[in-house]
Amino acid sequence: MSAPLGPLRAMREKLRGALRRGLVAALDVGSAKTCCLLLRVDGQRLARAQAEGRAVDVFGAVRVAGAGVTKSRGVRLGEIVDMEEACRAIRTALEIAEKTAGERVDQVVCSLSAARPLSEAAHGETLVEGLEVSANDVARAVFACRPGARREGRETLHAQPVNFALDGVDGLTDPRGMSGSRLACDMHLLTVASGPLRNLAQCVRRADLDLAGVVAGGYAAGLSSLVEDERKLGAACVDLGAGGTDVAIFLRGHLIHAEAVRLGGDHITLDIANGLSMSTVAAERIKTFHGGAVATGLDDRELIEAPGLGDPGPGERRRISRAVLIGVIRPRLEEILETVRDRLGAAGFQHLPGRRIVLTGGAAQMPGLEEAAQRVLGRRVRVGTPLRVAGLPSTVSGPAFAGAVGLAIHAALPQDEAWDFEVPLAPNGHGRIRRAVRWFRENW
Amino acid sequence: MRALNDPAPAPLRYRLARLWRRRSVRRAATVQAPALALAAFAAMLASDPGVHAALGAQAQAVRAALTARPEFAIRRIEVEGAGPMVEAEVLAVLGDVLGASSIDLDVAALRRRIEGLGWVESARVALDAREALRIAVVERVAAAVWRRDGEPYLIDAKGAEITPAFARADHPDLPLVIGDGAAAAVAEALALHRAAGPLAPRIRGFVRVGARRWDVALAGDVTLMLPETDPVAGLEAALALQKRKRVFDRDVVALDMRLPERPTLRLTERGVAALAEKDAAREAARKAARRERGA
Repeated sequence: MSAPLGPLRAMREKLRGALRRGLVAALDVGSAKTCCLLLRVDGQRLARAQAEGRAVDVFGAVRVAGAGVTKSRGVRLGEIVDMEEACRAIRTALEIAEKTAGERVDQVVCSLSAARPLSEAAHGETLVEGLEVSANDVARAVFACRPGARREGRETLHAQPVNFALDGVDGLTDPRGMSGSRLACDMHLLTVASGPLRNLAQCVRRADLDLAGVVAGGYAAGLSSLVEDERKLGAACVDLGAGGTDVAIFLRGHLIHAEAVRLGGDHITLDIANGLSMSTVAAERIKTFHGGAVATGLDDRELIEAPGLGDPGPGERRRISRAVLIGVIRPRLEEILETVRDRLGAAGFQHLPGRRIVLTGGAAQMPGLEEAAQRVLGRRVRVGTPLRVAGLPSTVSGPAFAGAVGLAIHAALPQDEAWDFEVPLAPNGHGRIRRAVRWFRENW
Repeated sequence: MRALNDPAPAPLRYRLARLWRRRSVRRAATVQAPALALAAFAAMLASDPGVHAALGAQAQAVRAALTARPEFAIRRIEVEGAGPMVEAEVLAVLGDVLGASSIDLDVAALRRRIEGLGWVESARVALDAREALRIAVVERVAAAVWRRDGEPYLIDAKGAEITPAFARADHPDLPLVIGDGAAAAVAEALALHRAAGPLAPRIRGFVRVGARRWDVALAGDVTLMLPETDPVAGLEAALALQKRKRVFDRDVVALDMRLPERPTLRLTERGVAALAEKDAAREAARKAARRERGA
């Protein structure tokens, strides 16, 4: 791990500070909507729950004090393309949330979907120094993990130790205090293109906010919409967003793989607009109100109003049957699901014990999606809605808000990343001096 | 370009709104700043001499209006426990109290002034409900005449100075005390005076010696020196000597009783000569007698 961890460490410190002060915001900048949740955290209860390591108690310590949702602007395919517009959307969402809560929040946790995530596995080994494994040994094992090759223009988003092995005994989550001689660590490294990440950070800064963490979009959605058992036994979360689809694979409670498919609900809307020659606004509207994934005989007779481009007044609007609409939607939906299936296959998803797939995100609200997905992805598919966090308004509790709610969960109970471990001390004095020097460089 | 239906707040408004949401800012603007302004205004007023003068004048006017009311005027002065002379002195020292407002009256000062009078031992000054100033006086009783630097003063039994006595002869019944610290120890002198008995008519005065002990000056420049402790016993011993031996009727200048067990006489020159003559005569007589026996 030679990557510069300074900024990441600093962000984590900011998050801890915000949790201590009891107020942190979760900001999900998506292609369709920008959602901001203002979380009020009961610090004492949170610390107690974290000490016991029970996720359920952690949710009890977090309360949504305000929620703001607004239409996104300047975001395409999950990436910011117009800084000013995106910043304005963030301001709007934050303003609503702050007004609801009546408080000002400074630290914000963001999710980054798309941005071409790339999962990598890294492996590191070290010799245990004493009789039993100490925290320093664990840190050395973590920092011994070498990523394959550093690529230009990419930045680390997550570096989570997912597995420890001590003398060949695999599957340890916390090897501290155990006795052995060789400690090995498996790490999941997630890198993203640095451009979108920097744009997001810049945008947040321009909105007068302090970035306290960035989380991969699929990972956030998985945190909120997968049941804990699913995360343990192996499951994939497919976040069907507007601009893109995020896939995250969990095993033993850890994220082990993340993907992004650059196809989403907006593509379906565009297909409808093109195929039925309508405006995108009208296409989005009939998709939302009448869309579906599976056609039945009844749909042939159900006529819906579909104003074509240049149609005159309301009285003479064109009417099409719902079956036609579904006929347009379905191929694109299947294309998305097939791409997801291919990506999952390439990642070796079929070898996992659980093999559950949970669909979430805005497009997951489409009727009949579950049936269509089961045909493509297999029987173990369900549509998941995000976990209920206390104080969450019902308007913000649908599958479309899985990412935002997942961010809230992540903010309260962040997974250990490589930069949460202390840099291991060398046995001689050099390490200490180097540490002091580094501290100065990071802080001054 | 900004879309028409974009609800986003303008950057400046957004920043101001967020600033306003900061608790410290809000408290500063709603509580601290007004309090500070108020305090500053008050300080400005307080430091302005014109305001001071106006306020003072106002207060004076209110006070004057209040004191001028007839309900607060003093109508009578009642003096108790004083003879006519002392009462006149008390009234003189009170000054122009009658008709003044009782609000302006400083009773404590009045009392101090009255107690400053020689003839007054203590006084109580009180405002009566019936618009009267009641003054209760305890008079001093002259017990002795104290001569200090050649001037006689009247003092009471506690040694407090009452008034200058113009002449010793005006107070023939009072004993005369003289000397440093005589006034403070006048009680002893009075006790001696009472114990004098048959010697009383001969006593001219009591002299305090070295602020320590008493001499009794007797007629004919005879001095009776008394001991420091228990002078009355010394006096009584002297009285006993006088009764048996008529000491003071002889040629003595002083009878020294300072050592009670060893009274000492000091003779006049005439007495010394007489004694020497008597001794010589007695010696001559004895020699003559021896000669006769020898012969």
